[in-house]
Amino acid sequence: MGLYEELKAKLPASLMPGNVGTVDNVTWDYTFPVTFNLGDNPTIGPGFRVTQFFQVQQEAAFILKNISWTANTQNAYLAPLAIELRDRQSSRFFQNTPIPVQSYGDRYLPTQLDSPLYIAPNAFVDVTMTTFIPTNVTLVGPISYTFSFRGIRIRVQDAADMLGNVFG
Amino acid sequence: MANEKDIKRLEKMVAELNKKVSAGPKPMGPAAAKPTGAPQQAVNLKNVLPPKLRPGNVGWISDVVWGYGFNAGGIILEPGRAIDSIVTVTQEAAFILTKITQTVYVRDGAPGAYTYEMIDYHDPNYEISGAYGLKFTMTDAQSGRSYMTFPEAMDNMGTGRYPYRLPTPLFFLPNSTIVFRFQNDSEHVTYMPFLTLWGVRVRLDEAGSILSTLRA
Repeated sequence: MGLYEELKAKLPASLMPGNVGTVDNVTWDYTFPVTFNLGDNPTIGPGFRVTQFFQVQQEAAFILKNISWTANTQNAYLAPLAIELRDRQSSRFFQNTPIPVQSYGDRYLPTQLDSPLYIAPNAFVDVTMTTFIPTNVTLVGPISYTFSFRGIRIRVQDAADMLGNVFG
Repeated sequence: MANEKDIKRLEKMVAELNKKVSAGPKPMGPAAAKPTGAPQQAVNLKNVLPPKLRPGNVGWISDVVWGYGFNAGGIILEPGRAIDSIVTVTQEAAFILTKITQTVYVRDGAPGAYTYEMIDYHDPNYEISGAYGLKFTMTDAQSGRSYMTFPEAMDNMGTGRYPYRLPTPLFFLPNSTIVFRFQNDSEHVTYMPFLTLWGVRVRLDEAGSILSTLRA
């Protein structure tokens, strides 16, 4: 009896580890961090726009399950900033307008996606930070954010075929 | 005058046509092809992943669902004023609303962390008073139906950490419009409110016929 069969026989489904099994069927936890370092005393206002991205490595696809963020100071935590997510392959946005940073769950209480999002190997996701305030504001102190895109990795056999069909 | 070679070629063509006719019509639509690519991958993922981890955006183009957020608000709201904010579900797909979060920023002229003026997040996790006096109503524009009897306090909506999850998901057709009216009943505080509607988009084959049966 192999390890997979042994664990399957002994464990309830909720405790079955994803990283045991054949190489094409395993899954493992993964996080893509995206950092926005705005520097010291940055000025934000109309036209403020900073884009970062993450790219899923070729080895395996990524299934995005939740998003959280953290800020380095209290001023950063309170700042009037928003982010928008875009699939670079299709140019598709995942919101109608940029969503305030604070609308996302932070740290250990992330925003859970209602439907996990499949992101193909080699695909890019753009994350743009912007603001919605009508006048310039200078934030005090060093301002930095890290967004964490968490989910699982899974290998896919016909990833090339999917590019033309998959929505994401 | 046709030579022997031409006759043989025509006979071969006729034989092929007869073969096609006797085989019957080809299946149409999705049944015409063996699933490959994304549809096949959807099957593969279904076999490997537990239900809560199965991605919605893999499969036939008309069957996929994907996460989406609609924003309402984002307007500076002086004390004693009310303002409408309209959300239109884009034509591409319907929207199923599952949870709502509120984000409120406060502006005043008091010296604060910012050199120009203070516009910062009003964190209900720390501010005991909440966004006092800030209320909203939500109305379905097609039917004029309101989802609340009286304006609801923004404080009663969830936050990014603890979103307000609807008891049952709420469905909105493509092109439908939701009107939010924000009102600021406070005396001195200027707000900038946001409501973010979280949910999933889903494409509909029968949007036209649903229109007549939808509650709204």
